[in-house]
Amino acid sequence: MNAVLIAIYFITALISIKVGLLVFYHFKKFDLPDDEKAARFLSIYKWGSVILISASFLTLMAMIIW
Amino acid sequence: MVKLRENEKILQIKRRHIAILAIELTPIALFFIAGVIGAVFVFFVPFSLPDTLTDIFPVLLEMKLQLILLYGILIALTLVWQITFVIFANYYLDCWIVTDERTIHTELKSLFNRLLSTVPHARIQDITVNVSGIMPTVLKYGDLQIQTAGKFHEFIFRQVPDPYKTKEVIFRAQKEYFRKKGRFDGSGETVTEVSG
Repeated sequence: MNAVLIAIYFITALISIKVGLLVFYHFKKFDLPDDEKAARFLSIYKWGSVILISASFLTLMAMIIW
Repeated sequence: MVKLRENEKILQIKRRHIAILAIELTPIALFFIAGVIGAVFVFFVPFSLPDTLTDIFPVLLEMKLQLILLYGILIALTLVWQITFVIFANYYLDCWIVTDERTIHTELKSLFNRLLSTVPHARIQDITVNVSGIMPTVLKYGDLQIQTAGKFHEFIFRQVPDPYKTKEVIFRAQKEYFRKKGRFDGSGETVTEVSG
């Protein structure tokens, strides 16, 4: 059971990292002029992903340890 | 990728109407809110399975059901978060930039396919605006199509707010462009660049 949950976590984390890298790459590539909103948008995206992945990790650890 | 020329000024940046994004994101937002409420509920409210269920499946008693549920919700929320931002990036990077020299269109066709095309004001022959339907009429958005001279690349501003105003801006910019150049010398090239 734990192995399945760990595998699900790693797959989700990998998908998140891949999507994140692609989104950042495209924003950098397009490099739209006069664009302050993009930085704010990327910051929200980054921190949201970090919080959700960390929360999933903590829950996973809680399940394994307890 | 979008490099402005020396002294080139941006007159307007257009994206699809915000209502279009709202329609696309509404089901995802509802799912996300339900997920957050579910996670809070599972975390703070203790619950147990009905006895009939645990009698049939005693293995359920050994499982940390509350944590497994919370974990499932968090994993689902993480995936929904990624989908939301892919949709938002698609909306945000699909834009039309009107400068005093040309109109630039950038589009993220998919995560591995992007497009950049430009049409100089010298090449514009006519602009057609199409606002059809109840929602576009009420919310004042529609399609704006630029007809160009020479090799034609479909240049359509899709579902942009205030298309008539944008049309005016482009025509005014074209007029100013010709005034600066003195005459139409046909030197402008329509450029399309597709990257995978």
